[in-house]
Amino acid sequence: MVGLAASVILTSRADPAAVRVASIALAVLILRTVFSRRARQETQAESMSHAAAQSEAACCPPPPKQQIGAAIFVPCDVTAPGVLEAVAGSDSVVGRLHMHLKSTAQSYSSATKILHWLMAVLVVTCWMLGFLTDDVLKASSRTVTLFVHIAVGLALFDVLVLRALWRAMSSPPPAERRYLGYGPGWAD
Amino acid sequence: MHYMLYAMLLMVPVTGILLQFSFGMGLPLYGVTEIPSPLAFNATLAIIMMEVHELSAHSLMILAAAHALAVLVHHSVFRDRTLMRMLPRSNGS
Repeated sequence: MVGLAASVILTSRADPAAVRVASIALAVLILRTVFSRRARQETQAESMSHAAAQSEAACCPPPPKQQIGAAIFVPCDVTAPGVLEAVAGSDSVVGRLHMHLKSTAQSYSSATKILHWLMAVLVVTCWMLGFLTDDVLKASSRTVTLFVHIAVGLALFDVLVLRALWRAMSSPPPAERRYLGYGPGWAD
Repeated sequence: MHYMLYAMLLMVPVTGILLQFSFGMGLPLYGVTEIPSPLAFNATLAIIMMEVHELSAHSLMILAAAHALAVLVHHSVFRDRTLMRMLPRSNGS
């Protein structure tokens, strides 16, 4: 584990995947302990002994007590085969991030959902503002709604660009159902 | 169907920007700055753009309504996960 502000967790390729995942989880635990220690100086001694006890339990070298986070080398290597898959499925920080970006057969990714519903809200808002500006309001109050209409419309355009980029780099789940015997495609 | 939806999503902002420019007015970027209009006021173009912007906005709403209706049909007639998998709390289960 290198660096505290931006921590890098280095692992050893000699260990099996499960040990490497455990090491990463442990490193995250230690980091959390360090951060909470920084926030609450009065609980310093207690959290230090907690972190040290856990690292011993996972057969890793106990961190030097006086400079925790400065240079703790936990034996693991994320580039080794099987490790990324194991990390992706685990309840670690990396695992959870992976979960939010990756769609499954049953659900779209969180990123896709956010873009989709953000766009839905923006489209309806923009349409109502346009309707207000064009058909309902008197000329004097149009300036404000037109300005907001344009701002929301441009935000919509930005989200559309983001969404197109995200669609190009991610893979959505397959369609739930082929459509009424017309074969694949017409709903695309 | 979905390509039409995406096409309208693109069409509406683009014609909106052109509509603003055809009046000879600049495009305000969230009140921070403004893109000056590259066009002078052009009544014919403005009227065309106004109609196209409005028509494509209305067709976008109709497509979105059809999109929402279709997902309800999926949910209650076909009884599949088309709606569930886009809802915020759904996951792999």
